[in-house]
Amino acid sequence: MYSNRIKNRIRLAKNLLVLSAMVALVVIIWRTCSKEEESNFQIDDTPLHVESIRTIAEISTVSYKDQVVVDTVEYFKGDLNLYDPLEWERIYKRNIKRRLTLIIEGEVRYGLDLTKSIIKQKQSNDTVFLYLPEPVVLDVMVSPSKTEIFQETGTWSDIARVKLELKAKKLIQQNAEEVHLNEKAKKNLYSVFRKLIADDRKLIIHYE
Amino acid sequence: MIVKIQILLLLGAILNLISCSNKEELPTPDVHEIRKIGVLSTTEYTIGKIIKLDDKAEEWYKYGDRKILIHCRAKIKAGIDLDKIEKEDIVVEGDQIEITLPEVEIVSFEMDPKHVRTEVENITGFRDRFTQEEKNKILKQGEKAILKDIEKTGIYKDAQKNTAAFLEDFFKEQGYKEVIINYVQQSDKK
Repeated sequence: MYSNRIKNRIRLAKNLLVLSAMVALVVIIWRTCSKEEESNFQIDDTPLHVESIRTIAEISTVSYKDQVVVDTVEYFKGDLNLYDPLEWERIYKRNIKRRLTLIIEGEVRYGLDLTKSIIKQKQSNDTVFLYLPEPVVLDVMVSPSKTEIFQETGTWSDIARVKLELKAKKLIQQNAEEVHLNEKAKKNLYSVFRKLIADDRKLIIHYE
Repeated sequence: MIVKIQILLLLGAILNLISCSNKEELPTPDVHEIRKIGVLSTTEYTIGKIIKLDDKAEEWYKYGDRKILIHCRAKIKAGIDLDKIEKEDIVVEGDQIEITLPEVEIVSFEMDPKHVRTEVENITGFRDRFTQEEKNKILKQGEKAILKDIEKTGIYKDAQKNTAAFLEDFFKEQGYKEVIINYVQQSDKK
């Protein structure tokens, strides 16, 4: 009777092994067939569409470049059930169900926006007075060429990626504002106008 | 024996969960660069583009199609780099001023993520959905294509015209009666 029990257990173990091997084989074949290799896909040539044209007048004098990391994680919910083999994946994945991490480089430009205002000038024989608006943030630039998907596990929607990219853009702008680039922008504006006023007169700039 | 194995597994799982129950904090890099620039932007174009991709599988066992259409919008500014103007490029003779400006160029490019939209995504058979990494690669190609074709839109001509108009007004306010604006030797793209 004892030997029968052992024989049955051995048979059960063999059957489980064969079943696991068959399941593993099916999974491997499916993954191989559906896995997308590092594709060298090329987009089709489509025309550009000019949506709007604007005449502007902006003088940028400071460029701030920054690189930020943004991340979103979803964890498995509930307690781990060790007796359920489907839950063993949680141990392997350190309880992280899916994760999307982006590294984004952006540029913030400070300077004068003269599109809606003009440069007021007053002159005397030896001095030029310029009345300019305060420097402002002119551009916060992010683009796909400066975006790296560092880590992507699980399936993520476009909305999730866009949310992260906008968060990165906001972070880059906040970081730029913390460095107080207004004064640097003013100093650089002085050099720009000094060059343009092609004589030896003194230059005084007032910001309104 | 089975009980001993189960206890060991349980201990292992507890240790793992303790070590991974703390949410990982990503390091915040302190990497930035501040640069002095002198760029005069005088034209802004908003460009829309439909990025089209038909990813045909090369392997015989990859049955199915993958197609995607993404609409994106880019804001492009053109103007001149004032730092390239040398002292000798500005010549004053009485109430006439002559200035030689550098070539107009694309001075900024931005593709706001808010304006990127997947219009159509069609996956059939055994093919996988496009991952975010693949979509990013597609957008990078789209960005390259926009920059390659932008010269056909007339942005450089507009930027030249607007830059000349801006500087003419500026110098006339200074009291010059005649303002002559030249550009350095134009490249073929103009």
